[in-house]
Amino acid sequence: MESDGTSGAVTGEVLVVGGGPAGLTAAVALASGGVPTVLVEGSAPTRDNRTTALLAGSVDALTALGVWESCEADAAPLKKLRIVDDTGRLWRAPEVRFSADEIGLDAFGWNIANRTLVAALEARADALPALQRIAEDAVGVEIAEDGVAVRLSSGRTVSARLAVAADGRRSLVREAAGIGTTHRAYPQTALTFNFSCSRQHHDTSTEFHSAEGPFTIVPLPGRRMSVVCVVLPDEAERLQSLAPEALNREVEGRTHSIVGTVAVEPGRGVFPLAAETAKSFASERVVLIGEAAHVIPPIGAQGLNLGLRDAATVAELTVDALRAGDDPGKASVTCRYDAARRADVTTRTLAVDLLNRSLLSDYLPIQATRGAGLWMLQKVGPLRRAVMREGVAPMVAAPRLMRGEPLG
Amino acid sequence: MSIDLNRASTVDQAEIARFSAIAETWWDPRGKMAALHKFNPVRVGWVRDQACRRFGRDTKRIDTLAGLRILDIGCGGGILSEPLARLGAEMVGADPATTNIEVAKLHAEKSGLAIDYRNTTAEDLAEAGEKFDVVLAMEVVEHVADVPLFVSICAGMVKPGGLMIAATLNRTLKSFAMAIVGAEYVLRWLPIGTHQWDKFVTPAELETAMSEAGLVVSAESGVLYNPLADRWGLGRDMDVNYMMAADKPD
Repeated sequence: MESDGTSGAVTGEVLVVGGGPAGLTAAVALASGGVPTVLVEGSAPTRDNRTTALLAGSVDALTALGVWESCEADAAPLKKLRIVDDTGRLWRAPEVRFSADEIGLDAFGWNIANRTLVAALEARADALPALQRIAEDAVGVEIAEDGVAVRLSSGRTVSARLAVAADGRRSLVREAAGIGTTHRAYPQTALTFNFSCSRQHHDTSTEFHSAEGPFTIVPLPGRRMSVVCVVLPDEAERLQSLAPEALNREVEGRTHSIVGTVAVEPGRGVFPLAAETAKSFASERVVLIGEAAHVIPPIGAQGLNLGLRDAATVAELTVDALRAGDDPGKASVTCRYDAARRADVTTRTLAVDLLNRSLLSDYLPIQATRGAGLWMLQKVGPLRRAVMREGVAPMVAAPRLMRGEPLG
Repeated sequence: MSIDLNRASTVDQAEIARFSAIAETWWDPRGKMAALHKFNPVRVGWVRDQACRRFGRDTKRIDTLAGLRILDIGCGGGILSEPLARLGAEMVGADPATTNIEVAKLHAEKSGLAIDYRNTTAEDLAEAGEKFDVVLAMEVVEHVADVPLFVSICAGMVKPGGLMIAATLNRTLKSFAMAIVGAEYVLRWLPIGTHQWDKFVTPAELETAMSEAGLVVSAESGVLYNPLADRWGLGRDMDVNYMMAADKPD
């Protein structure tokens, strides 16, 4: 990595655009492997109240990167998952319970505030000499045969052999690479907020499946929980505008008071549900990670975990290429990234889509099928365990970091 | 490394165009040199590992060859020199063919790598008193007129405590069948007439030449093609392609 004081040009082997959790993880993983990395993380501070259920593989990767030790205390283990059919329909599914100890795990995952995770990643990023952070916005991207140059808001440029696009669903880098997306809009909106509760949650996350969409409560440390409430837009607007006391009653109703009385905390987020997948996850000089590559509805804790697997995969492939004296941005290397991520992203997007559609459908056979599926999960141990294992850590995509092996 | 996307040059544009066309054939992984591109990662990895062993380096570092001065004899378009330069080596690439050197220079500039390419021979470099930590003679031994003389010239350029590595083709019935009939006539990997089987060198002959030149053979490996995976790998069978590393005592 060199900095040229006179022209203000910065160069690195890899440049990561976007300072969210996926971009930060990629930058930290690359720099931990000794790769000179520049992270262009934008100038706007993030105001994210959401939480993420980090699945076991993600936690293993963060542990290997030296990040987990500084945020573990602020994460709550998810030891049990419960799905409750609250649709009130004729074909109601039975309640399904998943327990992590059934597949030999302490927990399916750990729920953590995105802000806490980002702060831990930033602290680690600052300790890595191979990583240079730039708090400026990328305003232009130029992709050439031999490298990528990004123009910053100050007029400076950053260039590298490979650009990792972690710049979100409206990715500037993806657009510059000419990669299109397939988009699917859902009729629902997700409302997110946190609350404290009078009863213990017993490390159990519960999804109440209503006809409008799932209402999910996920443990946070102590007697606190986070909520992802998927409803129709009008209902989201109504809930969003409710006074705290009224929202408390609403939550107690939807959760059947299983965690007692609740007190919602300030800060609510509203996210229209959509699924969007890039037609390719890479082209020469560019790889897409996180929401630049795939947006999926916040159901089943898959979105950011996919993004962290993207980050681990790109770091592994880049380090391997550099150790072989290869150019990490050339098409034969970036193609490997696309191939490595395609199956994982496709299966998860499809699973979330099917689950969401089955909830929305008023068509009786689909309700019956969904009920039968959940009944099978409830009754058939091996099937339930297979679904749990696949949900926690996919068989198709296991980068070294996700097995807890450091790259360095 | 630095990439200048709007580079200006004083070099004759027509010459550049001519060499660019050739460079594209050299560097196209699916073009005329496809076989070499497939073969290349195996020899890059072996050269890296042998150099790391000899100089006590960590193979996992991405700049593991930093500070080592390496000579690549018969560098062609630079397919071996570039990866080694990326790993940190101070590369000198030598090739008697002017076209190869121009192609290599052009591509290194495009890759943002500083490689010292010279249109010269091993003899002239040795005469000029050049010394290297590592001298590579990869796929050249089978093309020279006098193997013992060539090896002694190469060995003379290795610094004490350094390393020489050669890769070549064994003179066996199998290599005749595979390298000449197979690679040149059947698979058309290489232009017909690229190799003359009677100039191939057995491991024993190479080892003798290296020992007589004051080197001690420290490692050897066969390089095998797996037609099902369409991939090259290391193996014990040295009947066709093989590599040999020899240390120069301190």
